[in-house]
Amino acid sequence: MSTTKLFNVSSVEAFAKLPQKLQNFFTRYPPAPIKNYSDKPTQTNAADANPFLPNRHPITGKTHEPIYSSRRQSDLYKLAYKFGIADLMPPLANNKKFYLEKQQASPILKGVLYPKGHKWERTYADRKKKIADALNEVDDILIKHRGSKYKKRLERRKVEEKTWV
Amino acid sequence: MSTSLKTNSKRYSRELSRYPHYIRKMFEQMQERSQIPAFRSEYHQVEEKERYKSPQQWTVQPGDTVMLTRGKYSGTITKVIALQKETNRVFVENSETKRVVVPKQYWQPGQTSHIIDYPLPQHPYDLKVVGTLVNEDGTEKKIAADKLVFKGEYWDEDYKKMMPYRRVKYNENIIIPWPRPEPKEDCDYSTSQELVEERTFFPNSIVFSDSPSDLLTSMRNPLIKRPYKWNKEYLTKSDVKRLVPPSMPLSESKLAGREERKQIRDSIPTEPSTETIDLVGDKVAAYLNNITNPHLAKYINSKAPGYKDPILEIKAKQKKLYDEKVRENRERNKITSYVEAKYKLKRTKNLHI
Repeated sequence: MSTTKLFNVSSVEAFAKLPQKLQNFFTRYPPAPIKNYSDKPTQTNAADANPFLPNRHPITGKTHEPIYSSRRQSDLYKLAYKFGIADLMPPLANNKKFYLEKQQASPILKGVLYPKGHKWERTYADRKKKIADALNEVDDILIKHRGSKYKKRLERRKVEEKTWV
Repeated sequence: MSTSLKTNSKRYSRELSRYPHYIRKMFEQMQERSQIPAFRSEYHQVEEKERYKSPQQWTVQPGDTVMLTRGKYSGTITKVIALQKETNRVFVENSETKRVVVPKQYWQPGQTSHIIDYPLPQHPYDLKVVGTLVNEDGTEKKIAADKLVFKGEYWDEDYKKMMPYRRVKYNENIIIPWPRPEPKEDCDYSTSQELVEERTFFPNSIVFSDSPSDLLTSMRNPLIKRPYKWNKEYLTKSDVKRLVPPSMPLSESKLAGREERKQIRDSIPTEPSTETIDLVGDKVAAYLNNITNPHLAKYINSKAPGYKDPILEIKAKQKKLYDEKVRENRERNKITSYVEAKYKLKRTKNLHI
């Protein structure tokens, strides 16, 4: 991948390069230092009413739907993320996160950490150990049942065993 | 029960319309047989429902000039005298007759013989209405309408009712006017037209009635068909709607809500402020100027407003060219087919000659 810079734009040009959706949003709801937004639902006529949250009307007491639906919120946030201005968005409902943040915030599941596996996988080591132990005891068992003659034969085989060294 | 009740009242007398049609027919036949031959009608009576009522059904009225199309006198032009409503037929002048013997007690004044010729009524189907056409040079021509249609209607002062325009079918501009009926003379008991048309009541209000409140009870016995005393009288929805005075369609709270929404809409800026452009633009510029990934750069360029996909543009251009070609070919085909047809026609014409 080349390291040459592909853009050389001023701030006004950069703003004009934003998608129309984002431009409209930031026109209507300027970002944080210019206008602050509460992270909790407030009254609809409050100065810091968040367009992403359901706010309550002071006179009728009815809860109004958020001005931007969850889908439109997500669309806007993802677009802003791709233009490096996700942190200028008002706080989202329920601490909603996207991409790496979302992945990091979510706990690792037990099944992912410790996969259960099939039964033959779970009992494999035990079965192998059982077989190995049984093989170690084979000679003793045979000697016990077949007598000292068999023991002597084993000893003789050991002595007569051909080695190259 | 007195005899007058049995004979005169509709309730206690033998009302023929209450019997089924086959029994009614039997009674009619019995009645017919009881008559002397002179008064037996040639044609059956038509049921009440099937009798003609409107002038469209009759197609002719007394006084009309008609042409007979059936019987001994078919082709002759005569005049309608009267309608026989019981049989849906009309009496015409110079029609076929039936010889009947009339007893002396029923003789008309001036009658000298027992045997008279009684005219037979004709069905309107067997008549053609005759009208007169005035040519441009002033001469008159008589026409007999084969078929008639009735379109439009007008107020006829002589008939005192709305009458349809009688037109000749397929030549609907030719109207055969209805004949003038014979004027009816007023009797001693008839009311004059001026007295009928005089206005005597002028209401003071369209809401409140001028009549006294106890008018209804004074006119009818309140004990007859009164509501049961334990009946609960509820106001229905429609009653409430009728009794409650109407209000303005939009309530005050609704108007206030509208005003508030308008204020909120006005408070939202439509153009980005310079502060916003600086704040957002600086950050975006810093981000974009550091981009080195060409795929990301392509994506960012594709999202800019006013961006046009080059592939789509090329496709649109190709389609435009293709459409133009199709149009040209169609024009050419039209010309060739036109020319071919022209020459083929000439050849066939020559062959026939």
